[in-house]
Amino acid sequence: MEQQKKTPIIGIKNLSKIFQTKGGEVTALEDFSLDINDGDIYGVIGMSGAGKSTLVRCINALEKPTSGSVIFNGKDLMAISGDELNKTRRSMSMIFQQFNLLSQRNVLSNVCFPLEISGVPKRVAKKKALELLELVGIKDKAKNYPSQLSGGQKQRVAIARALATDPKVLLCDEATSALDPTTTASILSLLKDIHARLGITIVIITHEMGVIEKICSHVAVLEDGHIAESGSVEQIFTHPKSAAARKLVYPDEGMRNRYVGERCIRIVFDGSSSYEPVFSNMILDCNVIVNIMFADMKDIEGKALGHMIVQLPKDELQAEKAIAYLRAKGIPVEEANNEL
Amino acid sequence: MNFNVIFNLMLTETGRSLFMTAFATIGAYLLGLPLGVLLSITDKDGIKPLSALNWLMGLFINIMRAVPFLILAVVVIPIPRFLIGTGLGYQAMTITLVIASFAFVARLVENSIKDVDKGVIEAAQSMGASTFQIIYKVLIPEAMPSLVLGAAIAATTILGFSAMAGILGGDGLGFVAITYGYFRWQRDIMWIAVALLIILVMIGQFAGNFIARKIDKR
Repeated sequence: MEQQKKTPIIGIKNLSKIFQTKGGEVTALEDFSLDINDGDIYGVIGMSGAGKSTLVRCINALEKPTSGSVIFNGKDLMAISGDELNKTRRSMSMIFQQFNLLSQRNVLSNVCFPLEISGVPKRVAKKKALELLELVGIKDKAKNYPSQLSGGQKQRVAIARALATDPKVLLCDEATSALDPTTTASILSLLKDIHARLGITIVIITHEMGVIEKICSHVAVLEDGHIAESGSVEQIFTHPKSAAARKLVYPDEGMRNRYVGERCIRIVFDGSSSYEPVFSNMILDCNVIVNIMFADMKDIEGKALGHMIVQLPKDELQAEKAIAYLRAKGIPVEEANNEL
Repeated sequence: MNFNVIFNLMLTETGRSLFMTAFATIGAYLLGLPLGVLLSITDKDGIKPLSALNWLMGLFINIMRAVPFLILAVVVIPIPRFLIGTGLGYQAMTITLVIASFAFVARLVENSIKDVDKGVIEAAQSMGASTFQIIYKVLIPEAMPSLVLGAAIAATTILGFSAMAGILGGDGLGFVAITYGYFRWQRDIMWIAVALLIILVMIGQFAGNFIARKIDKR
């Protein structure tokens, strides 16, 4: 509860964005509100077309929303423009899916770029850029050009560039979507490392649940321009309420439903009991025979989260006993049926 | 005419052709580069959309480009006359060439600038770069290889214009070709002048391609 008292570093209030196209009006965001606290790694997940890109562009005022406001560090970004907006943007950096490095500049001079435009003397900028290249682990590529780098290396340069102005917030727009799984993992652990070292707030826009799992503390599920659900990653993973969140957390729900038969229950592991072999203990203590129909476990911030569907014995008394046992251990149990 | 006379004639007139081409190209870029940049950034997809100004500039450039060179050259004769006191000779023709070609240069520049990756521009905006900083630190450097190729096209086109200007008393190889080949029926002199023009165009184009490839880091 302590967290809610903090003033958010980014406060998005009643944001709407309507695009005028030849085919009529397209609503990308509708009455969108979200608070992001200082030091969070906040994930925004949604299918393509849910309005993620529009949202991130509204956060740093690259896109002017139709209505609503974005308060960054106490400043209303919609009320400022020109020089003041440009100065404010320097404390909110962004990295992109396509990296967006300057192709005619070498790595070092790409990292110097944001310092150059904020008027930092060349020598100071160069020193800072080299430190950052060291931090992201590609100092040896300082004299190379972006075309000579791999995707992961390019994103490292982009991260170094984004950190050059000592921003308070790092916006990541599908930053790992163009990368292979191994490279994605290494970039995510780099972001996590940077978060731990610099305490920077990170906003991650993605369509991949794996990215949220690996790095985020909070998540908002975006659907058709509004938030379907938001909260801590743990909460959303263990108890997804909205259809959109369920679809992301249980992508194979359709397949799983085929297994759901009579007397099936869904057991949710929320990380509180992962060291105790609760399930085995239940079988032994209650002397019941259960049939595991489906299981999906994930490791999130060191906790085992997931759910399992089991079929209980026909004997109602035994079944009740098993359920009571699990509930007593603090594990949520719900009836699993096809209407999920 | 003996060899020495022809040689000296060709040397002088090649020099004048190069003078006209070089200075007219520089002049055309002094006007055309800012105009082309302005044209691309004020476009509705540009970094500073200003549709009325964009439309007006587009109209002006289209008019300038639609008027045939020889007619334009006659119309603008008062300008070099006012600026340097004469409407004849290669210096005067250089000014005429600038006026006749800057609109074409503006279009070339506009196209090069429009080819710059939108994502890179967005990245610069997200870093808080001003419009002016985006122009001289992102748009022009990123478009440089393409701008160089465009400059080679512009210079060779201006060389062609300068040859046409020979008919209006403009000096240079075009003037030689017309005077000797057409008026005096000395076809051999004409062909030498034409060959020299071809060589100049080829050198210009080759140099443009070479430099563009050399500086492009993509």
